[in-house]
Amino acid sequence: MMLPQKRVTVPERLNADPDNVERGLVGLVLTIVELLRQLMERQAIRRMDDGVLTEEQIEQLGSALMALEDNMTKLREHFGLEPEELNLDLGPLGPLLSHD
Amino acid sequence: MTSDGEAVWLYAVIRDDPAPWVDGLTGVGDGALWTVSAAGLTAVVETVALADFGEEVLPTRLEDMGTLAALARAHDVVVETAVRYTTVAPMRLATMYFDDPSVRRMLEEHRAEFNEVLDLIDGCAEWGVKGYVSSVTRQAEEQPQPQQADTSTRAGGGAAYLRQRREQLTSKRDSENLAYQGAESIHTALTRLAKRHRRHKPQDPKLTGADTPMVLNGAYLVPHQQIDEFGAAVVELGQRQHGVRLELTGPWPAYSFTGGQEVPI
Amino acid sequence: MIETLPAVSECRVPDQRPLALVDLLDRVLSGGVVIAGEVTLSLAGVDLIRISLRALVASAGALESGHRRRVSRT
Repeated sequence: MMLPQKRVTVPERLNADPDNVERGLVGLVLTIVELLRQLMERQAIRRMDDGVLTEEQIEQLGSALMALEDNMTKLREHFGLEPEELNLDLGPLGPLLSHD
Repeated sequence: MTSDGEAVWLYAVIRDDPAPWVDGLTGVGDGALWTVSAAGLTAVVETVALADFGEEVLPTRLEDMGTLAALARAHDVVVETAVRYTTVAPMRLATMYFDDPSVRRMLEEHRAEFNEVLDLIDGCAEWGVKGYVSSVTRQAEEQPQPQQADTSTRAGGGAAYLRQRREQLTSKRDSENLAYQGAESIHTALTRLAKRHRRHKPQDPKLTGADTPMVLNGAYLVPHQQIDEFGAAVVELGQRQHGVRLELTGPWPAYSFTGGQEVPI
Repeated sequence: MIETLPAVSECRVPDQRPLALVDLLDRVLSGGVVIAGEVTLSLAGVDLIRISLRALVASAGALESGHRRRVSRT
């Protein structure tokens, strides 16, 4: 005997579904957080290269950034967002986040 | 031959030619294709309804991807058919006139420009060469996924993490620089095999789905008798060790060599 | 004068792939002879492209979401 298939419909217009509105907002927030993470990461690396950080500071910064990246990934996965979806198109200025 | 509520869509201009191949072709609308001649030139045209192609209507229609794609393809199919028979100056999409006397006036007014373009592209085709940062190089630089990271890195290894990220970012930058340099030398080599060349802006990765940056978007006007040499050069250049993956597209009608101003996409 | 292209015509990228569409659109929207037509639309060579770019970006977004759509979360 064949059990009836449960039909799941995917919304035609993504922004009509309240779940997707939430996803959109979360995506926006995570995009900003990701931007900050990338900026902070580059700052940290630059200071490390400039030799102005102690080993302890490098360890602290690295751990903090590592934890941030972990949390970002968990949040992203929880809301079903792929890394490529965290971006904003600024038109002639190009995308907010680079390919990093 | 047009009435009120109609306009003339212009596909391409060729040298004066009866163009019997126009019969039976379908284009952007439902009408038959025909030709209008003046000043030693022939325009390949179609009568279209302003209800579908007028200035109030068409821009909105073109905001729909399916319509845009269909019209672009229909336009190009006519141009490509013409290319099989003669030298063709293709028109940009959506160039329209109110009636055929207008088209004749246009041909007379711009005859020098058209002849210049036709002389340039006679016996040639356009070929596109696109280059991307090679993704083989890129795989080594992927951001670490937590589940893939080395456990010794994870266990209190803040410093090790930061150093690893530095290595990844540096090598990503290095491979991109290498690829950009590679693109320059590839382009220079190809220009020697083309009658004319043009570099376009890289295509938006959101539109192409490319997973690495585009470092070269070149158009090359190549005489037919040099096709094999050009093709062999693209293959050979793609195999060199400069971190660039090449894609060859073509032959295209000479859209990039008609002297039209380039509007950034 | 009949002039037929050499056999390289077979190289032509099949036009069903979305990737080739971007190449085509770049050419017909941004290339080709530009002579202002009389139906105002083609004067707006620039506007035409902006309109089309919006369509492309909007549909690219839809395409991406389509590939990654989560059917059900509960």
